[in-house]
Amino acid sequence: MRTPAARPYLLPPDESVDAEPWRTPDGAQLPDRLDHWDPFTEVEATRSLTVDVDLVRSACRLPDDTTLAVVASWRSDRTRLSGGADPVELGAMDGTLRVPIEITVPGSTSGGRVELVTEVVLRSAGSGPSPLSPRRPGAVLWRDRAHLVVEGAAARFPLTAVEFESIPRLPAQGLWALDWSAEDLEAPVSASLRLLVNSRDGGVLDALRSGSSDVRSGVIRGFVVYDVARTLVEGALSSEPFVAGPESYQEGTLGRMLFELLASAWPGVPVEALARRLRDDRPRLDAELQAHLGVVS
Amino acid sequence: MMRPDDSTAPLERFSEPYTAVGGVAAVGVLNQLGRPDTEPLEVLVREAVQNCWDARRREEHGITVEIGRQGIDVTGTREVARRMLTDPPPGLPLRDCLSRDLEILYFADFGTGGLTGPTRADLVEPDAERDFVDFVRNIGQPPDKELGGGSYGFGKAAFYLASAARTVVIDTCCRTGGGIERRLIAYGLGEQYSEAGRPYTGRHWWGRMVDGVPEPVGGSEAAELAGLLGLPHREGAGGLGTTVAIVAPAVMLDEDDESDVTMSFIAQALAWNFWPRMTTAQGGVHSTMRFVLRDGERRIPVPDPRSHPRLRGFVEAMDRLRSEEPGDDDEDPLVIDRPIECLRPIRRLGRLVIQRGPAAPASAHDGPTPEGARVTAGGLHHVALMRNAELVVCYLPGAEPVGRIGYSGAFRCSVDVDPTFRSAEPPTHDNWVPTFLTSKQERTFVRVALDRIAGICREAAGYEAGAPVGDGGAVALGEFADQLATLMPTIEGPGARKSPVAANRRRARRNAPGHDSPGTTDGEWVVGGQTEDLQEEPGERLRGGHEADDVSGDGNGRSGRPPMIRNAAEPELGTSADDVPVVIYRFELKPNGNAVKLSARVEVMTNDGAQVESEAPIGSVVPEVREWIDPSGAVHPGASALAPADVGAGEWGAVVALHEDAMMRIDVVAEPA
Repeated sequence: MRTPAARPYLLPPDESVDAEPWRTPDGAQLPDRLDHWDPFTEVEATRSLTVDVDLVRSACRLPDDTTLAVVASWRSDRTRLSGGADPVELGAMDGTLRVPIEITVPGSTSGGRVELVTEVVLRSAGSGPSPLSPRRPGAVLWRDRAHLVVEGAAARFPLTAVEFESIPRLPAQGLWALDWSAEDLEAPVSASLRLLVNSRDGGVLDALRSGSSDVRSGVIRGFVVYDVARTLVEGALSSEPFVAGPESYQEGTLGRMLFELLASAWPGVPVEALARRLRDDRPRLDAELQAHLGVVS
Repeated sequence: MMRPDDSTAPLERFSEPYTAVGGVAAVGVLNQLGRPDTEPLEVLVREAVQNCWDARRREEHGITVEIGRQGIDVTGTREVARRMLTDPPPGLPLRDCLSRDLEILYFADFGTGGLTGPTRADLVEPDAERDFVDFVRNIGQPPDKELGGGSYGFGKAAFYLASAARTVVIDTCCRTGGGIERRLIAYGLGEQYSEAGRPYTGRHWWGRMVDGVPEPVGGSEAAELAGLLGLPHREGAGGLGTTVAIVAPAVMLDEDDESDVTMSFIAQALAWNFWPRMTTAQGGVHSTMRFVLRDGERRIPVPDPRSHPRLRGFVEAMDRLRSEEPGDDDEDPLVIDRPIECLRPIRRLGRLVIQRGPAAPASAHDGPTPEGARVTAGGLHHVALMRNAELVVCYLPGAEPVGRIGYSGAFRCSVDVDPTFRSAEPPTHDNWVPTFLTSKQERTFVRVALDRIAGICREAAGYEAGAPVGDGGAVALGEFADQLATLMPTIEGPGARKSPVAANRRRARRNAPGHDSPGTTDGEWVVGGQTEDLQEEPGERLRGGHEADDVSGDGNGRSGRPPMIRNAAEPELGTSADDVPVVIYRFELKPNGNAVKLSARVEVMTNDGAQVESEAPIGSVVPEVREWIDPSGAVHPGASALAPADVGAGEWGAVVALHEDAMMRIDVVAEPA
């Protein structure tokens, strides 16, 4: 039978540190997951810690001139990278201290599940600590871990903002372009489908940006979704191999995605019938897709 | 079979009557070729040369094809009418053609086998080839040439279609049991007609009647008649091969200004259709087709594909295709070299090499041009499709390139799917049509190959989906990307919307550093405490409070139940009686009537308590338990302790000297003494 591991030095009791939950800059409690995070999103979080430094010192049998600090750091399980904020030095102050800390988790190097770690650490043990006291600088006296999921398993449409001017085949004044090929439906979705949005000034990018205040935002988004859907539906129904065997594609492939899209928009309608509808009565097909998506509702 | 004494007599015409069981009307044979969009002269050139290629002799490295045009003046024409194409029958537009200057277009192959085998369709010689019968007598005979260019035996129909007289003269030199034999016969395919109350199929032969069958003439007579038409000389082994002479060709081409461009068109058509066999690569492939073009006495040059401004790219792609294995794309940014594979079912379908280069649209040319030149006239973005015969099936247009860089590609199907692709070709062998195939799997192969080629063409054109694009100013679009995700139900992605599985592990002390070490047994009773392996689940666990009631006595007076232990509290630091800083690990013992021997192994933890150090650093002392504290508070020095059955129950402490900077835990074992 294994016992719990023992730190080689005395630790303060839990009640010596009181930590408020992490908050976003606007004061709301940080959720345990961020729905619309993307690698261009920086996560800023703050919290306040109340540290009874007297209790810490006494419990750890540390002298009065012991110096302490509070350190916040993050670590991403996706990128396996970590980073930290500057330590907040408590010095040799005594009494009960209120310590505000803040941290910024950069989007470009984080992802997946982000662990936010808050620690009270020893800076220097001062004069004459007991043999049981923490003595090494950096010894962790108290630690708190919070978790924030920024990426999970939910579908996300690949989307990139780009200057159309930099892509030779796209006109500089274009607004958006679906970058895909209906020729290889066995390809994984993540590798073969992408919506490019022109980042040129005056385009629709502002309306699509997360947290946009553009009043046209809802309508533009609805319309772009519809346009992308229509392009996908038409591509699928125009592909001979797809129509011949729409259910033959493996999970995660473009073919399967298109099949599921058709099945959700036209439940129970055979793909062959939809292909005929595209040929014979395109307006009806379009209107049915509008009804399914709601477009501007 | 041939009677030498007849050698100066004119050839006799034999017209095929319908028999009681019917027959194939000649007009039906002509219809078999359909009506291709391509210039008929090009169809003729393709079919004729493919026939030549299929007739090549295995021991020869390649073949030579001579294509020539001969004009025969009125005197010569009369001689032809008198000695060879005698007595033109009804239903055949020959008579008119023989009343004026005659023109002959011939295709003569050398390095080929000639039309061997019996000369009568109703004779079977064991193991003999039946080339003569297939070409001269039968209709639509399937070829037995492995990986041949032609597939339908319709190639010969192209000759009759090309003749205004619907008549051809066949002059062949082949090996027979009796040595090398020359055979010359004329053949016409006309309308069916009735004469003297008897219906005829429209098929006619000019030869020598032997047992009611028109047989070819040979020897010097054949040479003489061939000379009348100005056909190439054939003699001995070097003369092996076949000449097919089209009487009064109807496929000749005039420019608007009435200048004749027939032969120059043929020269272009040869280059566009047969360049893969015409080219010689450095240190590798040698050309296997040589062409000689004659217009009367004049030699017409055939373009060199390697220096042809628009064929050059295809030739370079082919050079690479012929090299061993697909190399690394990165070697040359202008080359794409890919295997073409079908994933379901898994099959290698072929290989595609694309050479990027200037799109080089040629100057507009209004006159007749070969199909390949016509489709590439607007710019090069095509792939030459080939089977293993390496004759160009067609130039498949790919995505139009972005900018001025075009591309030329060569695709050759794999040998084991060659028959599939051959079956997908129409009679003119100039396309691959999946729907021509009846097997679903074969259809998939052809379709997938064409799809994959189209996909790679998009890449070559610069349309590559998923190509890296610049970072558009780092705009956060996650919100909209999640909204768009409604279009991709069931697909997994990086979105965070779904709730992750909550991991609510019980923790002894939430904020203690190192509290989640692996393998720790948290307050559960453990039988004996023996831990099997460092990282495995320890021992047989029983939930707290549930005792091992089912363990019965062993009949020796001792209790059959083994001792049990469990963790009692967090380890605590302290100082021993001799002033040594120590860690005390608290656990509870339930002896179950046994005298118990307690022992423990000390494990040093690394990586903030996440791992157990498997080997102590050299020179360091392996820590061990220095004393045990029993429930009464009495101290038992030593690495192990003995607990008598009556006093053992209760909370014990295992004392280990504190090692500075070392996080430790112990693995306690309680066994009956």
